[in-house]
Amino acid sequence: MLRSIIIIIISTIFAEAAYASPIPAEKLFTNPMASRFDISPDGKFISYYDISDDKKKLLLLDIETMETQLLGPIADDETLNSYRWLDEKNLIVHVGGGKKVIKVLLNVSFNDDKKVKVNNHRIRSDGYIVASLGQQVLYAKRRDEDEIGYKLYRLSLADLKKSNFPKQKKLKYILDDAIRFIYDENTERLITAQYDEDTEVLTFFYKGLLEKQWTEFYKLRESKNTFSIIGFLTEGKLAILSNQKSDKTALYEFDIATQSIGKKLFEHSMYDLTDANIDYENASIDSVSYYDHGKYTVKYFSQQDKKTDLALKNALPSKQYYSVAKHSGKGYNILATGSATDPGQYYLYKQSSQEAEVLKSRHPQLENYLFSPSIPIKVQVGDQTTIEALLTQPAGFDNNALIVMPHGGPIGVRDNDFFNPIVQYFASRGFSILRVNFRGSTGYGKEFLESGVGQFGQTIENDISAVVDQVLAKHEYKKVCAMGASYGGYSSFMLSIYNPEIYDCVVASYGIYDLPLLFNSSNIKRLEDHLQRVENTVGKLDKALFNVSPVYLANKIQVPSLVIGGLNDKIAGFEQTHRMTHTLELLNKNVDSIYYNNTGHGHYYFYGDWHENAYIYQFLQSTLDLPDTPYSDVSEEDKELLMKETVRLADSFTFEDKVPDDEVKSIKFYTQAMEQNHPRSIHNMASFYETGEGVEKDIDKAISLYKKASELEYSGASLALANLFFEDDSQYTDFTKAISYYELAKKQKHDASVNLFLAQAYCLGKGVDKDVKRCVELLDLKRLDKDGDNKVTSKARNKVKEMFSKALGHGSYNAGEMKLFREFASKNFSLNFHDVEVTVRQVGKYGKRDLFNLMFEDVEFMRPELGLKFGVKFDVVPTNTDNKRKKTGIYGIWRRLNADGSFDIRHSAFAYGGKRNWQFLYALSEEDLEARKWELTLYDLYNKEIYKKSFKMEGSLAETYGQ
Amino acid sequence: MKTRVLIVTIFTWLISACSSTVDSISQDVDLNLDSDMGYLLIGVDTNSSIDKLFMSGQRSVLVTRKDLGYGKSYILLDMPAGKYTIDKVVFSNYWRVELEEGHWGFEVSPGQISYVGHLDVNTYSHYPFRTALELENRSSEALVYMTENYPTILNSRLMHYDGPGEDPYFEHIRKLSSKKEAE
Repeated sequence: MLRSIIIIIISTIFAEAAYASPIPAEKLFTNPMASRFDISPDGKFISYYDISDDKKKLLLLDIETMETQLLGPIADDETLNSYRWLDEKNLIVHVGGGKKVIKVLLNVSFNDDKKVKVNNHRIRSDGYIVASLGQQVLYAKRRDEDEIGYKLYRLSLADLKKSNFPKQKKLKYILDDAIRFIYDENTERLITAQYDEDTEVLTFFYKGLLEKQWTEFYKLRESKNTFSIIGFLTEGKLAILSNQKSDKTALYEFDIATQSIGKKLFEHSMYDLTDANIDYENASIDSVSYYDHGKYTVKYFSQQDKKTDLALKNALPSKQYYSVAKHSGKGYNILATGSATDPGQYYLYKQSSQEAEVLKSRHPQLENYLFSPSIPIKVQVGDQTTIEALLTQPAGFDNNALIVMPHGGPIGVRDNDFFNPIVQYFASRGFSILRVNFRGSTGYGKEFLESGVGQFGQTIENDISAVVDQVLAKHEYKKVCAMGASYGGYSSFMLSIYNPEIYDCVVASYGIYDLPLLFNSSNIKRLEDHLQRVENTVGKLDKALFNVSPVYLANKIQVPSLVIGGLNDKIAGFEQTHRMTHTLELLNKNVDSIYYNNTGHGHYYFYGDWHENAYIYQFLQSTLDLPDTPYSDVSEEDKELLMKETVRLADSFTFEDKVPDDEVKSIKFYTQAMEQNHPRSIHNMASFYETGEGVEKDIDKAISLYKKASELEYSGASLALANLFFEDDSQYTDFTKAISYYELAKKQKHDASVNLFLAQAYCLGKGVDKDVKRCVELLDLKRLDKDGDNKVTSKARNKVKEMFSKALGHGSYNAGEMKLFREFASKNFSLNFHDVEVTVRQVGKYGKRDLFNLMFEDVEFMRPELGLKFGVKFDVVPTNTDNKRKKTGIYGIWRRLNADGSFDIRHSAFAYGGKRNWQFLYALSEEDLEARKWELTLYDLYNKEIYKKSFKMEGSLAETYGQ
Repeated sequence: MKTRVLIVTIFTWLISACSSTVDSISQDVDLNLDSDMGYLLIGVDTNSSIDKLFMSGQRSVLVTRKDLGYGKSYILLDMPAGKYTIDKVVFSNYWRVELEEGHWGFEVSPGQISYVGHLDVNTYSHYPFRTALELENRSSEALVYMTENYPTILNSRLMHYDGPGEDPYFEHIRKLSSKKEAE
């Protein structure tokens, strides 16, 4: 139907001034920086979507001056779904954010100095533009919420701007429950379809815009055959792509009156057609397209198109390209290039000069890399079948390791020779990658496709193995690993089971490993239509499926494996992943696994791709004992990004929630980064030694590593050292050293929280002479320039109250010093009275739960349990003020009775607020469980005791549990 | 039959009163079960808090918030052997889901631990209340749970999949384990 002309030229591959080095994942796995190019109807401007500089926007490029101006910014949490020019001054833009799609009409005008002026008009209607008809638009407006289908309006732009849908502009004779409307400019016909849920039939209709009668022209039923409508060939005939009457999907005539497939217009001898363009005026074919050994290929039929193709080829030598927008009147064509070794650029081709000019790179960050090309391979299996494959060999460093990478599906999917970030990620690290279009892959005809059905672990793996054998006969690889996702994960395990002498490892992601489970994975998936779909791929449920299921063949897996899964995978099902790992672990096989949170049958965000591929690379390097990828040609920017890949892995297993915590993995990757002097990793390793998490506690080692990171100017390490030396009653206590490290952290531009630690030292007189005035100055972050050397971060601001509490609770102060505290508190917490009394409402603990919340109970005695939260709830009463907006602050100290009868200060807290709903609570930690008595004392900011309460435990934990 | 949502959401104040309230077994002690009794193990994985879960068959039981709530949980009960269905899931006084007959059945086998699946509850709209329920076979997760939390019961009884369809995974794992022990 309404399809643009696609032109493609297969070219040799060449990159200028490019270098071969490991490409950071962050550069490979991203959205294109520029996309959605179009030309304005008057041919003066090019519009496009741009996300460079981390800002999303729609831009306007003046073709004459090549100056770019902003058409409209798009918010960070929104995306541009689509846009189209309605006329030379108006565009409609669809922006999506969450579940909502917002439609905005942009009216573009220019002032005298050619600066663009854009007026936005939000269209408040659920619907879409069907066609632009000169000064009017056809708009499909969704019917009421409880009705199916659309009403169709022929509106002026003025009506559209006002979201005005007058009754008289509503078109008559519109099918009630039409799914979607399309307007075919060639025949000036409206096209639509209705779906019958009971019969599961989609019926297509057309009519002239003003005609009353709809003509039914095709009923689409679920079928194994391809039937794709290209457009009207004549009034009564369609051009269709079908394989109903041929093995390959070919271009046919379809007679509407007799509902029969007629003359074959074109069939390729080897490949299914994927698209076609027809000339309605002459009832002839313009072009057909197909994948020739994975490369997108267009065959032209008219002399004019062949001539144009030649001209474009001359304008873009060595480039593979296709057209994304054109303006026939001006002779402009926007071309996008792209191939296995070209991440893509946009060009403006001018017919007048027959020259192409670069507009934008899809991925400017990937310019100057040398990408690895693919070699096409054909292997004859049996008498009749030819299998095609692509072998990508590294353009630079070669580690002599081959990754055999079966594709997913397996039925109706294929590998193409496009730019593939995963292939380039591993090829740039020295790997060769082999991808095979085995039987079951699409594009090679019906028989080839269907011969893969039910061939799990059989014909499919034989095809792959035949290609692998040929590749290994010609190339000497020292290591071979099978790696794939979905079906590819299954196939990878099966290949290693069948050929243990060839494969050295398996990497399987989001795979299926227990084929009978596909028939029993849930009650919903036991329903007939799902079972039919499974049968159409796997074959019938039969005991033989156990013989080709890796879970049931796990004892034959002899090589190390990495199994990756998504906890929300509803396609393969996470149980498949977990079952495979569990079985291998039970058999003490060498298996590693990663289970990603918030991940389905693959990642929703690029972070997941960065993480997963970096992890796989680490697995391959260590499992296959491969040489390190040389960094000699790596830029400083890339060195940092590559280091970030290792540190990202380390961080993810400790600090983030994307994967389950795993200290061993975290430490492994921090150690790697530490060996390359990465300061934060050294600091983090030091903190593991300080706390004993994942390693044996070793404070001396922690100090030594903190010192090393501090010497590398990592301020966090200086602060950690200072805190370690500042700790009371430890063998490492050294207040003087602590102060010097606090000062160093400050000099190293740590955030302003370092001031708060220093403040504490001045208040308590530790390591420095007691100086409350200085303490209060340091606590007062409002005095600082928020972007100064010690940035006032939100983390630092949030720490002020805690450090003020510590200073109050752990020191003793005279009246003058308390006055300084009151002044500080009044300024920083907006307090306006300090003379208070307390009216207690409840004393007790949090215990029973009602429907939504934990209830606070009045109790005198309680049993010590981990996390038990107890204390007092009260109101405060101002004694000497009539200020209506009253706000005060008080502090409390929790003391714990020790076995020897002494009291320890366990916690101090400062709180502020109005008159009502105060609470001071304490939650028991593990080391509190033996204490029998607790005491809470509240003080005002004159240091006057205003409340005191003791809390008794029914018995220590030991007594409670009879030890 | 076509795949479609098997649930009906009903606004109601009524709560069924003829089921007996049961608590999940908390101690790892194998009970001295009568010959017509067995253990029922069902997992629940929900993104909205569940108040009550009703099941009926040989006995009608009601599992309460104490064993349900939000997130992942397991319910282990001793029940008379026989056929059962999950009837309804109550989320609050205002919202409950009644499950269509014929798709939510399972069995409790005598003398065994019958794992019947994980009730996966995915609520995607709170007002109006819209939720999708599925009884998923997560046998390997259930096995790990029993191994870690109820090793005594697991060692005393055979664990068997008694949810929708058939799945010999537990038998396969038992064979692998005994083969490993024999080595």
